Amino acid sequence: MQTNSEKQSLRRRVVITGIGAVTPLGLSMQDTWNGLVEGISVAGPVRRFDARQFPVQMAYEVDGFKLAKDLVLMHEVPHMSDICAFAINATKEALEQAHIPIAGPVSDRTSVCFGVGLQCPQLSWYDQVHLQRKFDDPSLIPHIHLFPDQMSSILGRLMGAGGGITSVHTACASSGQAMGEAYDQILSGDVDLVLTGGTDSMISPFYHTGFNLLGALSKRNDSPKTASRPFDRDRDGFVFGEGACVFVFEELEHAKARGATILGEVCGYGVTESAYRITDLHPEGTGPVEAMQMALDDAGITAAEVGYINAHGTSTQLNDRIEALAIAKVFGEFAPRTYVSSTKSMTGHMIAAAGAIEFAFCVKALEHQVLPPSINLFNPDPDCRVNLTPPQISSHPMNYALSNSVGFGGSNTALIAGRGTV
Amino acid sequence: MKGGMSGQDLVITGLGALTNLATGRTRLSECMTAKPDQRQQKDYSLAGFKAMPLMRDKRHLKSISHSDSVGMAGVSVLLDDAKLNIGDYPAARIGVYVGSPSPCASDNDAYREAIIASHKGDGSYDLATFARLSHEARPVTLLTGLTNNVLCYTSLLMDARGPNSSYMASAVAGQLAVINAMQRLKRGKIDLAIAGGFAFPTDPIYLAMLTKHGLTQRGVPNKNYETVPFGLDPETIGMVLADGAAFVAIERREQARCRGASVLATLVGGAVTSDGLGPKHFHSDGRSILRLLHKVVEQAGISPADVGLVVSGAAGITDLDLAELNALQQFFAGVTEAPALAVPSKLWGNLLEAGGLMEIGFLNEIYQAGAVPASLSVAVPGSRFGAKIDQTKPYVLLLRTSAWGEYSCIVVKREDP
Repeated sequence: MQTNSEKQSLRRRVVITGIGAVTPLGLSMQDTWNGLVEGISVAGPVRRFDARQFPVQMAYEVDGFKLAKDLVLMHEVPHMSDICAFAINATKEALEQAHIPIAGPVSDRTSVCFGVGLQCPQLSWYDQVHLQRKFDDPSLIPHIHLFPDQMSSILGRLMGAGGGITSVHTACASSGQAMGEAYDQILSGDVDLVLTGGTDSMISPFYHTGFNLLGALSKRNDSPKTASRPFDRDRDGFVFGEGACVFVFEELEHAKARGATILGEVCGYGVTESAYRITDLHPEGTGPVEAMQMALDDAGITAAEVGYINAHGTSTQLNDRIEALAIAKVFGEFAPRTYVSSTKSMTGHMIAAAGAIEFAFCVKALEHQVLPPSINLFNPDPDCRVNLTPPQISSHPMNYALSNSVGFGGSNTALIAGRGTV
Repeated sequence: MKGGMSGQDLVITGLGALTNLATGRTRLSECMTAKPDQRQQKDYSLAGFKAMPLMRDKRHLKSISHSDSVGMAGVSVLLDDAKLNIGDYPAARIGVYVGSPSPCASDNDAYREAIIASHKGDGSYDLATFARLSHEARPVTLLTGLTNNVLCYTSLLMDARGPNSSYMASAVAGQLAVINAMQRLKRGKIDLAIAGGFAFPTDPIYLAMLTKHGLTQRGVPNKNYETVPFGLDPETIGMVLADGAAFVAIERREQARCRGASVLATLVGGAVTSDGLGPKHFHSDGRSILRLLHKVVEQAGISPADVGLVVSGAAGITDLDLAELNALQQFFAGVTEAPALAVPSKLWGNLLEAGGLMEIGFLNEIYQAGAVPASLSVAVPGSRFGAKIDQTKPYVLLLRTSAWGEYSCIVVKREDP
């Protein structure tokens, strides 16, 4: 019987050689990280549509974005949804950092595994297609977007992916799962390079209405910048964010052989289902507990070795309390020494892209040996018994960081990042 | 794999089959061999389908779309067919993998009144009116559009708390779910997988989008379905889309035997490839499909000569079908007698996310008959593929091709009678 550490030494290793991001904090990974270090919130009134009559009127929106049109075909541009455009620009940045030619030769050792958001429906679609039944004459539809999985096919072209293209959607756990599956693909030996991550935007009349009806959104319209306040006693829901975060995952020896810079390592992955309710976590946090434990086992490390947890931390009463309980259960005696924050206080909830950007923050935290803060933490909730990071970014030596994601539908993921000093 | 059986073999022990033609393996099998006038098929839509009688747990129908009800009914049919119940396996050892349609297919009628009332008549909308009226919808309205509803429902039905995922990958989604489930089983992460896909492309928005992309057969009304040119037909000009669901249960032979399950087939391989050219662009020489075929037979430990039947993807898209045919011809070029070819889209249309699995339920019938039934058979001019099956070749390739340039294939071995 092999021990965990023996299994670790035998298996392939997965490293990160490129990261790209388009977020409310910035149009690149570096700008996003700089915004995080500053501890700023860019939430404000919704600009995408006139939300003044909606109960929820705010969001963290991407500002000043321009699609890298040279990367897409002319006929694709009119159909390009925001989520697709965000992903394309972030892919460009990730591939450039990894020194992988964009739209280069296709290899069957390369794949795409991406967390994609829901197609953001337009009012006109429903009107013309559903209500007026004009679907027999598609010329009447002025603006049909690409399917989310079509978008992944475009990313496959940019990546030169001949080894398969996968689009994952498990709500807020989408990109966490996509990255976990990308990691699994490399471990299994099927491929050496995977483009992974996630993209989403739910800033639309439909989703503002839908999530508000569920009571999931903050209504602190008079103070958007302080509305997202994970682990604060007075939190009242999440605030939509949007954007994309893209990684190049690569097999270690493959990366070394081509002289790639190693930014970090993917060390462990856990994925479970809560099998409880569509929108609620089990009161005992069983799903996230099992996912975090599975990730630790997979990484072959103990809870004591994790220096930082980027929590799912949505800023809803239920999520933050139960996630804190789950962390306490898994980390036990080490919980008081393991720092926890939720960066959704600065990015908003990027839904299908949340897991990806938060994992990127783990990688950057390890690189710089710092703890990303939770801002807007005015009155820490005594029912959330976790060791919250200091309010400003601060130094902390550590080798591993863990990122949690929890999705409607019950999927839970935990990913463990290791320092890039392999 | 070639040769004997092992307790560690991954076997398929049930099929949740649901199409416009019929529900369940037995009824579908009858349709497959019935004469066309006995099938009473009018179209390929499940728009009028009532999921309720099939559902194992009817509470979950309250907050889902019609599209999801098709998937959930498919899962319920599977659990009955495989005789699976909560407690058969530990919760953490059950994995659920679902290929789902794009969420734009959600039939979100909850906002109907709000949309109509807010339309100003000039193509624009009064958002204040929409905001006011849309908030009269039920709180669970949002949930009707979640792509992972069927994954969640299945997990609730079986108390499945192991690894899971939900994929959007058009025509390869269902097989992708099975392939990923198979990998988790092989690596010992789970003991039982429920995997497959469901499709509802006749939803108006979905249909409009695919039509806008030039992928459907236009000008050929579905009411003439008997004369519509299907996949691999030289006359084909686009997909004939169909609604449906197909889910399978996968477990280890030894464990299946212990719980008294029947084995439909042994799952011996599965893989995916892609052209990497972007949507609707294919290598018409079929190179990516050819790579895929080599990859799966290598994984299965067999050679092309061991394959008795190929179940074609036959999407109905001219260039894509050409690529598939080119790949198959090259792959079997060195084999003295080419395998039989089945084109199931001829019978039940292109099931997109639910495609490439249904046929596993009928392999024994097809093999025992010694030939692919006329309902699934297409004469491809100039090809070596016919309907006759060499019963000494027990391996079957089930191939899928997608308009986004993605391909999947699974290899199964028919169960010895």
